[in-house]
Amino acid sequence: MKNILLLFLLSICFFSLATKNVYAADYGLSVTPPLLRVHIKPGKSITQVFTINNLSQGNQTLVARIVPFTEADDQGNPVLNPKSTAPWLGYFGLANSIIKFNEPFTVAAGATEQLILSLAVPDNAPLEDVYATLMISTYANSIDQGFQGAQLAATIGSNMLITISSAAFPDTILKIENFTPQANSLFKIGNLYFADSITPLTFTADVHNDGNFAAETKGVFRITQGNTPVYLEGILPVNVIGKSSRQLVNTDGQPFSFTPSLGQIGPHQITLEIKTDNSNTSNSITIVFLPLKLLIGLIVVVLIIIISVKITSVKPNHIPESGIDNQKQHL
Amino acid sequence: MKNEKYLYIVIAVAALVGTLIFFRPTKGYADLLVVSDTLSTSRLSVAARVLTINGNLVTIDPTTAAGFYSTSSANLKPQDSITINGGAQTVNNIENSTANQFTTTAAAPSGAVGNSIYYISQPVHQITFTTTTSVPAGFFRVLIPAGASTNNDGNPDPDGFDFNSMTSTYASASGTANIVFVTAATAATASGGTNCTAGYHCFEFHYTGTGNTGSTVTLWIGNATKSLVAPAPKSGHNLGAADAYTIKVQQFANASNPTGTPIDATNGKVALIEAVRVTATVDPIINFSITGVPASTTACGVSTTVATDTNSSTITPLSVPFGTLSLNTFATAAHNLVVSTNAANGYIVTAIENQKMGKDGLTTSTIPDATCGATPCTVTSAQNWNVATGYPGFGYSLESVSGATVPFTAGASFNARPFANNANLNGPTIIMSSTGIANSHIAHVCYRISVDATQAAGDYENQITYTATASF
Repeated sequence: MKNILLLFLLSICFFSLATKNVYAADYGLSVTPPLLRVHIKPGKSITQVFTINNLSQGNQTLVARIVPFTEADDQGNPVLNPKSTAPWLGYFGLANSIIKFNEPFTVAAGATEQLILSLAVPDNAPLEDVYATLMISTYANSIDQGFQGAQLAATIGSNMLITISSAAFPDTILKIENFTPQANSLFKIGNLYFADSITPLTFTADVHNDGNFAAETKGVFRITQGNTPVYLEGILPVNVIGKSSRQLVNTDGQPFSFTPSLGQIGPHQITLEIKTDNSNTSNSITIVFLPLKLLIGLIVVVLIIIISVKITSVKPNHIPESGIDNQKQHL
Repeated sequence: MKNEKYLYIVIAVAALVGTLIFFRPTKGYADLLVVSDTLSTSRLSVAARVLTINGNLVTIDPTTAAGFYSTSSANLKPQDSITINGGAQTVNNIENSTANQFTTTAAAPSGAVGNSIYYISQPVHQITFTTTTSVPAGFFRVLIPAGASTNNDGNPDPDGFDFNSMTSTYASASGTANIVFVTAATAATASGGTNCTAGYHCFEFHYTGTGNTGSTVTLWIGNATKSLVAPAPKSGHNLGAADAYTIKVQQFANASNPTGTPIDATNGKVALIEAVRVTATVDPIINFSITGVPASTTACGVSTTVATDTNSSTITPLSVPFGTLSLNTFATAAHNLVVSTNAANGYIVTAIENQKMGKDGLTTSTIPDATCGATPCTVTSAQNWNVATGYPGFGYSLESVSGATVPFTAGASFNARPFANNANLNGPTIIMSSTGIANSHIAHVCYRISVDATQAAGDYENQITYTATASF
């Protein structure tokens, strides 16, 4: 009896240990900072720590690499090609003792790891902007022959916009383009826009960087009547890399908008102004606000009144005098 | 003779002491006990003047003028509602590099030098005390120090509280069974008004009942809607040093003259000081997570047939294990993609497959990328894919679960695309994005596969890479 009990307990222990753990299949990683903006002179070097945190329930084997990019969309997202390369990639290195670029390293579940990125720009480096993304990817080095389906790889990236220049403020050439109002009740004659004076307007615009160095869009959206400002809105500061365009938006990330009041009638100048450290750029359009809807409303009201008056003032058909006489005679 | 002289001195001293004892001044009333005036905020108001305004950047005049003794931004904090020359503004940030600058959320109006900047602090006064005399059907009176002039215009004064057009509506009281307050009889009078001598704002709280000794009474002056405006810094105010004011609490008999001598009275002190601005730095960060979805879960408008949420010998994290496929039958799986970032310009998540699903991961025999239907879907154009027969392939659809912007959604007929294919030199495509900060944006990525009878038997696989980056 004792042996049977012992065997039973051992069996429980065996099956307990043999049972596979079940995990939620997950991946989670964070990186800080997600964006690095550096202005560095040739012959100088800097170090930046990137902190990565494994948010997964299991250990993660990761690999870090730097992928250069030269293009971005109008929302500030790089067009990445993992196979692309650039001569200046050699400026970058990892100062970690164990972790190297393009070599796998493991971060325990819930743990944090630091990537100590060094950037050393040689004395003879060309004066230019270099753009790259530090990519930290999941790593797998074997193919499961029996697997049927799609394997996922996850990457999290931190963009780096680096200006190599001897000047404190390298030349920036920004141009505001496609500055146009958007509204249904709007028409254009020549260079003048005409809009209803009580209908909200939105404005869209792009900024193009003709220069070779990234610039930041700090500025204001201003509406003036005469010389008096009637509306001001800040421009969301965004980075425009060289030879690229960005959409300009307000500080809430929305298109610029303006709702004129009833009394704001006449020409108004709408201006976008961007100031960089060494240059200013602006673009203006003129909109004439007219009480179009109000006039239409008044016309409709007047027409209704005229019609109503005409209808009510029509006399009823009366019997001709001769007819009355005939009736009287007949009676 | 000498003794006589000493006697006169003793008599004189005794007479003086006796006179002092006999004719000592008396208050004429007793003290209310344990009087306290607890302010809901001890923050001073701000009364400053504009030095310059440049767009959103406001510089406070560091010199004082009559009524304006706030000379720095020390008592302001982000999101404070203020007025500049009477116009409403919101403080955006305090410029730490200088002591007297701050920014506003909207461009401040071009301000002339000397225009007023006010931050109005409206603390609720909670006054508690214990009665020492049993006064039937009497009333309590609270006197709050008032500014010497313009003390009822709603703007902070440097020498007392502003009445702020208060009425008795904003005052309340709590007593005991023997002190039952009559709300309708509560009175609030600005300094210099009827029965309210200049120098103090007056509040009367009348009650019924027999009164009692040792009863704890609580009076409130102001509420969440309106209260007296706290003073701005006094003339000669030192930053970080409190400005103290004396309040008076009195108890009167029924129908007494409120300006007369109370039965009991006690003075109390309130002290106001600049707010302590606590600052902390939150690092910019981006989080990206992928979590599995169980089978039979509704995602992208369909019920998944394959689980991606468990880890076993056949189902590994970060995989879509379709398993054995039935001919001309859809198998569907899904993942949750979750992104959080405090980057101001938002984020994107892109996706790309390394190649078509190949037999044993190779490229000789492949499951085609999805064509969806008679009108083919492409990497950039989605089409409905709800018929398996005749349209074999591997593709995906999207569904925004929370916050995320996705380029297309599944809809009712599984609107789908093939993944961008690296082997075809496609660039990664954006599948999820935001143009601003994101707090746990979630999207479903739903994978679908179908094969027909011409598909060679074997194990097929490929690799899909998701990349999350912050926009710059």
